[in-house]
Amino acid sequence: MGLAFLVWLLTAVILYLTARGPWWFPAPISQHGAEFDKHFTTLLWITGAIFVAAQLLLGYAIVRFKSRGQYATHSEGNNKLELLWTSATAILFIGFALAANGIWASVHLDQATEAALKIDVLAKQFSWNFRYPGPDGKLGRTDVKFINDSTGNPFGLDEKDPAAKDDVISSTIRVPVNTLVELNLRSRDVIHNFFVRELRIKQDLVPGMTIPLRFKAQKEGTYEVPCSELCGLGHHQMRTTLIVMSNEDFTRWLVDEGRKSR
Amino acid sequence: MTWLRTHVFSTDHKVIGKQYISLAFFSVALGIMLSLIMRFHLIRPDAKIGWFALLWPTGATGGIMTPELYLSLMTIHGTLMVFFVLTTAPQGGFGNYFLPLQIGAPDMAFPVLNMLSFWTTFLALLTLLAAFFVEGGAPLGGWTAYPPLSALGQIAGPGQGLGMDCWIVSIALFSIASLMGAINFITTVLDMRTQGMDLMRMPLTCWGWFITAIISLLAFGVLLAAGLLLLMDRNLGTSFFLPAGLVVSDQLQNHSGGSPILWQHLFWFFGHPEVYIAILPGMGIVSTVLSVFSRKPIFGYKAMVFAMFAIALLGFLVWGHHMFISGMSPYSAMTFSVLTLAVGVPSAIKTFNWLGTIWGGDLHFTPAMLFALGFVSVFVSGGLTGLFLGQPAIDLYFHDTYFVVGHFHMIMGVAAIFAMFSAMYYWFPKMHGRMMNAPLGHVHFYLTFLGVYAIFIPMHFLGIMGAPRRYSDFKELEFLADAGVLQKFTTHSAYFTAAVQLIFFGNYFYAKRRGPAAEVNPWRATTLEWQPSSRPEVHRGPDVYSLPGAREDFVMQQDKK
Amino acid sequence: MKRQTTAVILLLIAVGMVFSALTSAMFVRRGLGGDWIALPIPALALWNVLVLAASSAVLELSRRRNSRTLWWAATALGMLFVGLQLQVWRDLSQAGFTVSTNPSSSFFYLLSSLHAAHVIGGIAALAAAASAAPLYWHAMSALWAYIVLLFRCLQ
Ligand code: HEM
Ligand SMILES: [Cu+2]
Ligand SMILES: [Cu+2]
Repeated sequence: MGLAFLVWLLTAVILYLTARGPWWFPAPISQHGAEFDKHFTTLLWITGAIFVAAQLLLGYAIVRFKSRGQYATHSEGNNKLELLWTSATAILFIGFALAANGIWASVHLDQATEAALKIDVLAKQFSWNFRYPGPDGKLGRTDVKFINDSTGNPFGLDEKDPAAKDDVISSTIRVPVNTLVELNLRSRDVIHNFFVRELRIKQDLVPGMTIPLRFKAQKEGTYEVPCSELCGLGHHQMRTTLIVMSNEDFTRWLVDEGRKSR
Repeated sequence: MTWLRTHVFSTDHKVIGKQYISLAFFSVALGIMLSLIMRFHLIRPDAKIGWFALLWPTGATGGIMTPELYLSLMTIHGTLMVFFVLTTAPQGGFGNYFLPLQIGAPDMAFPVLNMLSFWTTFLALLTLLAAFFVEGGAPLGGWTAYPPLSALGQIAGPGQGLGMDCWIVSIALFSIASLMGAINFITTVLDMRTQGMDLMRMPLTCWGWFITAIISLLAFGVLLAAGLLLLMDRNLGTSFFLPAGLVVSDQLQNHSGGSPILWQHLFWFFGHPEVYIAILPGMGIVSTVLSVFSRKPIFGYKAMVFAMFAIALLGFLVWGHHMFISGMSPYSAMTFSVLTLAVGVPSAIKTFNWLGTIWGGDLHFTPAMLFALGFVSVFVSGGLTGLFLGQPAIDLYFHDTYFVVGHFHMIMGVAAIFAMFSAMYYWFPKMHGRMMNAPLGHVHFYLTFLGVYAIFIPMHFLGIMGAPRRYSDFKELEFLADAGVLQKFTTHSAYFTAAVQLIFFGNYFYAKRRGPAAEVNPWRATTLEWQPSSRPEVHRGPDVYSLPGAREDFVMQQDKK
Repeated sequence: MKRQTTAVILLLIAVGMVFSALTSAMFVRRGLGGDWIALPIPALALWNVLVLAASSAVLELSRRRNSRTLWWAATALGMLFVGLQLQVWRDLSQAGFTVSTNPSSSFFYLLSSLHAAHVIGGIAALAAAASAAPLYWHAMSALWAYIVLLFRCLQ
């Protein structure tokens, strides 16, 4: 009996916190983010309904069938009922998977053909480095041999390559608003993860691989990027910021930096 | 000598079962203590605690815990819980004790092998704990030990030297022990059943152990293989998991061409089935307990068996859902997603059938029954969040956040532990000939039930806010500035829930020595372990309750009429 | 006894999983990049397929004829196999291929030594005259043939 009320109480508290609690997603800043939220909300309603129904039924059965000396009904099952709920859940669950595929594809497949601003990303224990082609529009040659943090060459730029001279290197990532950006994610030691909550995207940086990640941020501002894959003792400090700027500001920043690095 | 033979190096399945349970008790107590220290650190990262420095002179110099110590505790906590608690107690513990009794076998098929597998497990535990005492301390890479972090050696972090080797050797030993156990369990079920005990007359507990053994047989070899490759990368200079051109702490590494993702495939090919290894025996126990205390047959016995097989089979096809964000092909992510949600279907069937089993019953709320009902509740709560994580589009946000931590603690941690509590309250009279105190059992259940929700529900909200897991503190993240109250609440709930377990331990140890004597069949159950004679002939299924016209509301399996 | 046979079949499934995991890891690793060098397998390794096969055949004969002598002969051939494997490793390292030279040699050393460990276990089982040992022994012969074939195919 007590258990039934406890189950119902917990269900109510969880519902209340989900509906009203202050702990929620930040507002999305991209079309993809908005779609994510929409899908999430739909899913939340459906699973929420199942959650409430199951807990209510459980509680109800506990109250209703508590022993009062009655004789239990001898039933070994009901094939029709089982067939019904098996096919219902199968359709529902598989439906979920298929419904979400569009959103997944929009991040990893659809935009691949469009032109994008390319940014080279190289993570290491426990910091981020971002590289933009300078005014010449070309990324310079790199080699791991030349990597040296103390001389300010985290990417291992090859000094002999003229295209490398004006490359802009930054420890935060700046992008122009409403522009498709393509990151080329690499790591030079262990696995790290690039996560921007407001964009609703997350991607591992795996040593030995170059992984593209595309997004279009639609709202100016500064957003935190916490490393989200365990990378060692400084994992919790491996943090940078994504700065979404107006087009003019971004161009100005890039030109200024390009001049400085030369 | 004979004392050693009967109590330590015994080949009796009952003794070995109890030994496994003791090992799990020790591991769960230690694992919970580690988690409390972690939870403490998360709300007071700068606290100076004298005895931390005593325990970990280098990890907590001056009493302030370092991030690497937090991560070591986390790694050992996860490893203890997954392997040494949830793989040992349900299968090696209760399975060993009750499988032979329930199918009417004199012992397991290979008693000596059984003893060997326990002692190998024990050695594995010692090896794991040794990691705390070697140079650099315990590894900090988590229970998943992803390379390159786990393959590079001490250069990648303090615990990644000898401590990491200890971890790998421990897991390899554990795998070998589990394989020995699996062979023993399967053979016992296939060849040792008493007369009339057809497969489809076995209690669902036996099906749980049997199918778990099959999963173990197929999964642990893969983990063993992965462990060997990792050991070679670390110690023999090979490059299975290590690509060329790694620069660690400004030092260029001499490796070429390997792939960190290869480890993830091998690990999760084992790792996902492993969560079913942890939960299937629990499902069997819960099914049995619900049926006994509802005085009703299991609703859809055949469907339950079928669902377990479906879970086992599909469980081997979904490992990729742990790797959606690792850079796998977007198309394989979609395939893994469909298969993952498909594995939800048999799990849902089981839930429906549990509700069907109690529906129309005559429910007796013993502590065992309460924990079984609690299991159903948390299984639903934890299972539904899995539907989110099984979709790459949603995992794009939730991967490696506290949402995942909340999810797996609910469905794997709490659910399996509830099943173990249920089993302990249910079988205690059989194992120790005495009764545990029921009112204390009620108190234990209610407080624990409340406690686990209080610990793990807030974690879901932290995850929704985006809090990454495996962070030793969250000071740096501005977006979590408002989450302090969630963290504090979680930590205090953890203290509370851990304290409540003392009620259980007190009850257990008291009842073991002083509890009132138990009857032969205190719960009026039908299965063979509750009847006095050995190896009877079996005439019916395991769950004949409330048969209309029968003398009593239960008919035992060996009864002729 | 029936139980023993069941157990050996299960054991072989478990062993099979270890070797399949390693085989698939090998194919993945080989497909990853250009650093894979075909391994010149020493001729002795091929002869060793015959040694084990012969041992299996003798064992089978011993089972049919119920002959202890033949059983011991098969066991001795097994020991010969292990001795010759040592020579295989020596040849290979003399040819410049050690464990860490190339992933192909890493896999070869791993697979062959893992197999050798299983063969040594089999020798122990034969020495103990375990009733289900022949089944296991034949599987070990087949396993070595499989490993050699695998590396031949990858050349
Ligand atoms: C009082 C009960 C428990 C508490 C308070 C607790 C708390 C925690 C905490 C704080 C973490 C670290 C999260 C992070 O930093 O990312 C963790 C990780 C973990 N816990 Fe628990 N836990 C408890 C019980 C369990 C149980 C019963 C299991 C059994 C499955 C379990 C399995 C794990 C695993 C597998 C990890 C992941 C370790 C890793 O990230 O490698 N825990 N737990
Ligand atoms: Cu990190
Ligand atoms: Cu999984």
